[in-house]
Amino acid sequence: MVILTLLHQVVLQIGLGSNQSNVWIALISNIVWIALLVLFFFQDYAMIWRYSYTVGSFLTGLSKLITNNVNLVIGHVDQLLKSNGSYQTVNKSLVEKTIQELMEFVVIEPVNTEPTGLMRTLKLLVTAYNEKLESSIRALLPNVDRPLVQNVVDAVDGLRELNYIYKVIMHYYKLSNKYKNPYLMMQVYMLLPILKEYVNALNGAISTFLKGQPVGDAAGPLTAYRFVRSCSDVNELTHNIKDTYIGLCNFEGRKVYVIKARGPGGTVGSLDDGITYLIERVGVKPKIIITVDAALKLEGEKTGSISEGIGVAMGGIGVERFNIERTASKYDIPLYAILIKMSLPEALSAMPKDVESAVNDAVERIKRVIRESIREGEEVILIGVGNTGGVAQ
Amino acid sequence: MSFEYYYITLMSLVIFVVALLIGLIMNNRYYRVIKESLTQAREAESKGPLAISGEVEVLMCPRCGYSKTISYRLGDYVGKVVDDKCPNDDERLIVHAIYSSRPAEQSS
Repeated sequence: MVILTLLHQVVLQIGLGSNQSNVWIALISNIVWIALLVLFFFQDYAMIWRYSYTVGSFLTGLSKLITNNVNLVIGHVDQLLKSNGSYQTVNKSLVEKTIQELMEFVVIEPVNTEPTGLMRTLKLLVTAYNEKLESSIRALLPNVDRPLVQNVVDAVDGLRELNYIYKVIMHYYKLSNKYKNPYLMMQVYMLLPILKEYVNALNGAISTFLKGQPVGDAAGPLTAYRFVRSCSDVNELTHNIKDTYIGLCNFEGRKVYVIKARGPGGTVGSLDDGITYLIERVGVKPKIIITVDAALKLEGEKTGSISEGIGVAMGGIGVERFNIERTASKYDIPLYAILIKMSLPEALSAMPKDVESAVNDAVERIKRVIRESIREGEEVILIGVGNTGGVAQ
Repeated sequence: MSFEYYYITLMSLVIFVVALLIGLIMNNRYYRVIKESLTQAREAESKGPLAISGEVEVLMCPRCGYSKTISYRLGDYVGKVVDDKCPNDDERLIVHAIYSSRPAEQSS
């Protein structure tokens, strides 16, 4: 009816025109109005096409990104083998096959309807996953130094994450098309800006890990390193905790035990085991446990700004944080946290200058907290949390 | 043509051009391109020709505190004792920091 009415108006206006040009202007004007009206009714479909096109473009870009990064990792492994002189012994197709298999590797979450011992199970799964990744890469790079192997492990872990994102988004994309359901596509479309940021961050992380450079997340271990450098009488404690450094130093008469992941290879260590070892095996009686970690900033917060607080500054799935909290509460030890703020891309890409500068500020804050809370002769534990890739001890 | 038709045509054109400009400015992609081009120009002006950009490392003498900034060398890590020597006391320098002077990549 509406269209008929409009056509009637068109005819009327053509009839009312005083000359030929008036007729054409009126006709064009009415065609435009009809086109707008049609667009108004079909805008939902237009939006669905737009969502589909945008998500499809994102998937195409992500696929290219994954291919580039796979080639980057394979090229890096080849280079390591060549520099090691053992290139002839390893087949290139085997390298590709192993990396593809690791990208498809899954970790199945434990049953959480019965939560007793859940953290222990999670810790077991995480440890088993890390060991599997490392042993597979180690098999490809048999005579290469462990830090270099750890860097490749971190890069492959990033690749696996990228591949997982691709598969999940593709799943919803296909599902939406299969059932002609625009709302599944809309949800993915709305998440795209956040996903793009995460994908860009992972993309930067893979090349940074391969180069063995510190990422923003290394702010915690770097703070621990610089603190140790500013102390006197530094000694390393011998223990059998994997990938973990435990040092003892003297800071203005206070005994400071410093725990961090063992660098310069990319690893996060077993910091909770370090705490348990110090308190339950060595018999350390700390007055306070200080943790330093990189934390995600809120939009509007400045990169490199520092916050202090109570608790354990530690990200991840929460296993190590839970273990440290449990040990601290068992022995009634206060927990103090220092957070160095940064965005997700900054945490996963090469460490920015602002974060590097903030590390010096964090060291000064640790010194202030120790001076204020600990008397001479007393003990304190400092933990540098994060991936220590590119930072030694 | 009468005055009314000239007026309508002119006003339509003006509205169309204004809408096009608003569309260009509000569109995230064009806004980002314009903003980036302006920011890069400002950064290039402020840094000067001699500043080392990209990934850099700071070498420091453990004895006298002398430091120098060089471009990042593959294989170096914080805490590594490198072959470079301090011009003051001939002590071997230690890698004190490795960082990127570029801002991290933002979402596109």
